[in-house]
Amino acid sequence: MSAVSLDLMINDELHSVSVEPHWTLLHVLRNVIGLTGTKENCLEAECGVCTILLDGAAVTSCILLALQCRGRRITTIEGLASADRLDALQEAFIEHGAVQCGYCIPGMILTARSYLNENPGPRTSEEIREGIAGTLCRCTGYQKIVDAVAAVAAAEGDVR
Amino acid sequence: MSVVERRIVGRRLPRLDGVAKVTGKAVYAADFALPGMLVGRIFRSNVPHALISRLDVSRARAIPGVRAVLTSADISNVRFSPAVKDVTVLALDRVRFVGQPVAAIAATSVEIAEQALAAIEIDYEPLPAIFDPEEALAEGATLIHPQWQDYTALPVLDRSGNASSRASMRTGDVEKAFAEAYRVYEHTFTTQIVHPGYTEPRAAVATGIATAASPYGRTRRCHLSFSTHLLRF
Repeated sequence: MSAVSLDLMINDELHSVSVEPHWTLLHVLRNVIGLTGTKENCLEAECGVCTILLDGAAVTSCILLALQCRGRRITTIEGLASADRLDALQEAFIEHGAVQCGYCIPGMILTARSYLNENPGPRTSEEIREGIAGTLCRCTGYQKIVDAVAAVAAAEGDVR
Repeated sequence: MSVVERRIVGRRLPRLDGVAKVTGKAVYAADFALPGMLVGRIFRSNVPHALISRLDVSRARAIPGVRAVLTSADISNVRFSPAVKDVTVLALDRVRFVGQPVAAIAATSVEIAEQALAAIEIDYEPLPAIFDPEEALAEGATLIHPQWQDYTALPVLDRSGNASSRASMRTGDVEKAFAEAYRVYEHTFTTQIVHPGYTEPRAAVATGIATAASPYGRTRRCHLSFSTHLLRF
């Protein structure tokens, strides 16, 4: 294997790293850059805990090669809040008690962020369940997660 | 008399770790990174029941970057488990299920650890495998643990051969109830095997300083986790 130089734009910061061609973005985020908010579990895109935003769209970083991210905009859970304020979804998850063990929460929030960006306005519970179906919560606290996402969907719909 | 203001009951209180968990700052066992940390891989049985006639890890040990390849010959093989102490960390002379850990590798990278996995040589002498519990309980069934009587177990268990325990519960006059029943429906009821499929990986991180290993586990039973699941990467 031979390492390749790669510039990655992560959370609006440029990271110049050296990667092996077969390394996934998940591996680089967690083990090279040290952003462990992106979680690791199944490594086959079944559970969704490794979800990040790639140019704003939810993607499972465990099956995405780091080299595929050259020139793309990567957002991890560490980069979702602005300097002085949490994202509305982060606030809502706390407010609605949607956080339990927390292991799925980074992926769940980014999945929901992507869904609401693509589908703005108030959403039904069924639509939200379909929208977040790619990420599993094994505390099975889905009702409160759906409530949190619905509250943000309604609030953001009013603003638009 | 004034009403005492309730501090907790009846009030909405945010989780203390809520912000850390929604911002990705909460640290889980698998997030720990220590300087010089090695990567572990487990060499597992790919047959359901067999005697190990030959196990050679010398080629794996010789690969640069491989720091350790352990087999049951290298560790003290204490038998453990909550009810019947029948499990060793690594297989001794026999494997009893597909996936049973046979050897443990530590290396400087995932790639080297996987090379070492591929370099381990093993020969099996196959034994009859049992895939059905009823078959396992039948007269003359192959014993999964031929030395089952030598194992330490909770004294309340009713053990016999392949049965790690039998339990029967009986209350009231069953025969009379059946005799008086309008209709009797007979069936054998079984339940599924249950395992909590959490997404957080089972993980333990240990640092070997002097003679002490300092484990950081994800559960309050971290020493059990450390002894049993460090080997399940």
